Amino acid sequence: MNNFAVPILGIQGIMPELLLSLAAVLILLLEMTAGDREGHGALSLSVAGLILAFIATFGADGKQVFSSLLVNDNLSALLDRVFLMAAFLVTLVSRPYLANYGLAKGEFFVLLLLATVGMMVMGAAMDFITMFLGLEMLSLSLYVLAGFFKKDVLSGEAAFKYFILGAFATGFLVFGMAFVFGALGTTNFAAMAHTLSAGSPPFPSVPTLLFGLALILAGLGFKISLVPFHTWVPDVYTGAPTPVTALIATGSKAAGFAALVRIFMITFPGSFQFWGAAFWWLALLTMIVGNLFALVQVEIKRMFAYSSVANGGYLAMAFLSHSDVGIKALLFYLFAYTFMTVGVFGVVSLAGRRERLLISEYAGLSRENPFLAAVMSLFLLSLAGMPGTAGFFGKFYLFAGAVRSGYLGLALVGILTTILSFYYYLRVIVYMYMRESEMPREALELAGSGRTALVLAAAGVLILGCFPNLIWISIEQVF
Amino acid sequence: MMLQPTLSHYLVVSSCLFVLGLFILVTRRHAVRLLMGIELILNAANINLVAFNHYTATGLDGHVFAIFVMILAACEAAVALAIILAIYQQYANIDIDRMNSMRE
Amino acid sequence: MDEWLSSLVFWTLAAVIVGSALITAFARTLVYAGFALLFTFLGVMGLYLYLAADFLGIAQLVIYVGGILVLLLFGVMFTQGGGLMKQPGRGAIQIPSAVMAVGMAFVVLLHVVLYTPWPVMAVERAAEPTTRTIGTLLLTKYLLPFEVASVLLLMALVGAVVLARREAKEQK
Repeated sequence: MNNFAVPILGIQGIMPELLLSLAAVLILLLEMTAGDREGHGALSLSVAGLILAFIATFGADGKQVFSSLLVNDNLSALLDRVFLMAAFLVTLVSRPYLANYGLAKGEFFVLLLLATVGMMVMGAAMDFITMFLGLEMLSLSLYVLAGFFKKDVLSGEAAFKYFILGAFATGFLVFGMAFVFGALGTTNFAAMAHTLSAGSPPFPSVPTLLFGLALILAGLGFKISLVPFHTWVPDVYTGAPTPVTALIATGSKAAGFAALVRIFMITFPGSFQFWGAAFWWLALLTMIVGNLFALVQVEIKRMFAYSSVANGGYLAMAFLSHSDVGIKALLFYLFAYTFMTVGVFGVVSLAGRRERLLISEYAGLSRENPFLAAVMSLFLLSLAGMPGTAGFFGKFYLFAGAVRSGYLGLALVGILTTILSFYYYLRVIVYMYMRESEMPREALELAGSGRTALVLAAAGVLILGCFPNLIWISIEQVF
Repeated sequence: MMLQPTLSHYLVVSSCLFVLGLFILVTRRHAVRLLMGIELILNAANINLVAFNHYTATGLDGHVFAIFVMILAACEAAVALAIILAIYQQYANIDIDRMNSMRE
Repeated sequence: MDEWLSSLVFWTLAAVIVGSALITAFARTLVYAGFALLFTFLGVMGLYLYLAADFLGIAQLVIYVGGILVLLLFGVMFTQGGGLMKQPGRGAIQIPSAVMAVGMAFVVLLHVVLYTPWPVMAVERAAEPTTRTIGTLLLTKYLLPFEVASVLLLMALVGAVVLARREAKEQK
């Protein structure tokens, strides 16, 4: 071991991550030297970094880089695009939202960019160590972002609750990874799959392996808020600054699913008979509990929090399909879900100088701000799964995949809960268009970047809804 | 000889730490105590990594993993203390009774 | 005799770790819990040394005892007095039922640990210094995680400063 072999680097394999980290460091330097009070410089640097990173994802060559710790395949490229889009839209929404509270500081964007780097590392990880570090980079920056409004009690409590439960989830995850390491003697996914397929010793320890996988599922289940690991969701989603909520609901959740795909569907497909049942129950519970609790909420962020939980249930269904069909459906829904969820939280962020917290406060929005009401309706219809919107095809592929794999019952539950969800999504539209507001409020002037984000998200929802093939072509290339 | 430590003995020690961390999570409500529980669980994971590395694996991959877990533990502690401090600053000015402002 | 001595060391360490962790979990005051945690960390360091992980042992001492424990004790001092910092919204679960539930988890864990045919290597590893190998690994095979960890530390630094600093306006 004394010879110091220079590793094969493959810098081009981590180009997107590198560009984003660079942008984050530049923002920090700018903050220090120029005193970028209004956050204009930070915004432009973030946007530039995100766009360049997005372009860089097209350089995926399917190679494993850095001693097989990271893979640069089509799957990771597509996941990167989901993360980058979520981060891009959230960045655009954040600027006017933060400026409204006088808090448009560079650090917010730094943390947002580094959270995105964490997601991308997670999505491309081929090793427990890289996956773990990516997850922590994501989680820690989100804890801080959730508590970014220091004067706001709810924000502080959200950060605190998120941190405590998230840190315990991390503990479970590492403990489980240690067991898998003990059973297989390696932390590398490729090496694990190799050991398993060889079927030879040193691997007789199936119970341990399953125990480790169960702990990993619990740890990651927290990130993607599957029931019963969802208890933090309503408080954190409500208390965190709304653009941060959007990132937790989309990018962070997508990263969690990416890690699950890498571990369960790609590395351990052979143990499906064991973990399949776990996903069946998790998906079932998540769909039912999420939708039922969303029905009775009066606060809008709390309602969308439970709606986001429910969507996690639909996504978890993908793990029951045959692996490549499932992954494709999952990817499509992640794209759709990102557009519509960032969309609704974007509207909530920008709907007034003082945030409209209750659903009833959305009464009369169509008169005060027709644009916001229109895009909000579009996102809500898409979340409900209306044909012609992205949500329809997303749900269709997921349910069809489940049916084809013989899980008719689960797909039926999915359809029934979707019908149930019409009620709480449409209720908001009814409020916006058919109720008069009791006290008209000062409208927040929609700054350029916020409007751009909403237009882009709406365009994404419509394009995916009318021409799903556009994105399906690149998803088909995953395998 | 029964008393001679084997892999299982280390794993039992780490299991004790993990379970005590779990116990803190479900029963305790004080922020700093919860942090201590997190540290117990991370230590348990690290003992497992090192023990597995010693008994079942070649190379030192487990040690490297354990080092990264320690780095993470340090980062977590720093961020946690900052969050506690931020909340403390709020409540130094604000009425303490409003702490339970969040609903379940 | 030698074997007997080494077993004694192991069992002492195990007793210290588990005993002090029990105090951490059950002690009434936080200060006791914090100081008990010191002995848990030291015991774990002993285990690392016992497992021929010399570098990790020292890292445990520097990071956990020298860093994290000090931070935790700061936390204890900050939150002294009053019911501050209780995590909101969680009802205290009754201790007996918690003991039962956690005990069940413990039984499952023990079952997995004790009845798994671990692929233990026949030959005990020779105790040799690990620092050099770990250093080489960190700069070759694990170069990427090493760099990611540096970004993670930067992120934690920025995050902690963002949350903990007082705003410039307030100071005036």
